[in-house]
Amino acid sequence: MKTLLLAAALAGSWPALTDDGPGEAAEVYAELVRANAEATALDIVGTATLRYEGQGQSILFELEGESHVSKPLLGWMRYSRKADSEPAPIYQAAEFIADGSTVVVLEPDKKSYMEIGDQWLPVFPPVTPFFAWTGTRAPDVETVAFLADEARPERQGLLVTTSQGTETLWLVDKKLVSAEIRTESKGMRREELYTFTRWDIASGKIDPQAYTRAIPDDYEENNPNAHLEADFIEVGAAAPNVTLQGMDDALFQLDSLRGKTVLLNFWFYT
Amino acid sequence: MVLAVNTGDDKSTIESYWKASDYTFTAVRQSEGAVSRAFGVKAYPTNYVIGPDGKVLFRSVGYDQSKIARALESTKKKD
Repeated sequence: MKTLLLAAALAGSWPALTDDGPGEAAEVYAELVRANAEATALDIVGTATLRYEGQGQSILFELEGESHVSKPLLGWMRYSRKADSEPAPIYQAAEFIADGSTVVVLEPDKKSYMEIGDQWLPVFPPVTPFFAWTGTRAPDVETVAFLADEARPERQGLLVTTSQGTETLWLVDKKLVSAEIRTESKGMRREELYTFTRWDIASGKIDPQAYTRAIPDDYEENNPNAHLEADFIEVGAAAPNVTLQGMDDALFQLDSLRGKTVLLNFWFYT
Repeated sequence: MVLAVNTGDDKSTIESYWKASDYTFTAVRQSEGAVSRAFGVKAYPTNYVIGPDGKVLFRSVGYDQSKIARALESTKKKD
């Protein structure tokens, strides 16, 4: 029984890299493609830690693999953030399920590292939760484009443009025909499930409308504060007089701080 | 005054995190994300600088401390 990327990494068979330059990266990627192509099941692969660098800070993720014994659901990886260096985490837990393949998800131009033994080795392609968006609202998918690089046939994927930016989903196994992507929003009880279907890897074409999107029916009633939604307050406009609560539980109004300059920093820990 | 407006964590999580940190500024909480929504916060971290008159002087998303520092510095001179 073959196991996937994570197990290989834990066993120390992951190729040692000294940098994430394109030459070595391609080798690692090819190995990953091979491992996935040969996999018929995913063992319990234990946990590893992945350090993600982006937006000027590094964040540790704990990476877990779980056992699934049959196709098409080969496995999934769950990322959960571990406290590291900065107060405001920017990525929340993400879960990705792929049909027929384990999908490696990444954002180009950002560095990822995997801890192997006492070494931090760069991982290419950089691995990061696909839905790394944060915010009070799950992003809307606007377009989906198929990506293919003829010079590097192992690199194929989906370019997903959302209301909050663009994410790239690379495919490892060309057999992938559909993918479900679930987003969970922070601060709002909203969950959206995207199902990508009907795209043809052989021709490299994808129907931009080839996905369905579901929003729970009870979204509005679950969200009593929906009417408070607003876009960013423009510079020069009056700040809303919101109610805040101190760690001593005391409530106070923002307007009670008039006369002082206030820096409001929005953050969350988990 | 710096207020770190938390989103979605429970009190004990914030307290233990604050205890482990060296922050001199204040953590505050909000009810059901209402403050984040009132300010249209869709990504973290978002920072707003609000002047003494209650008007927004500056806002930013993401990590760019130098811009925030400049915005705060500019309000100082006005005070």
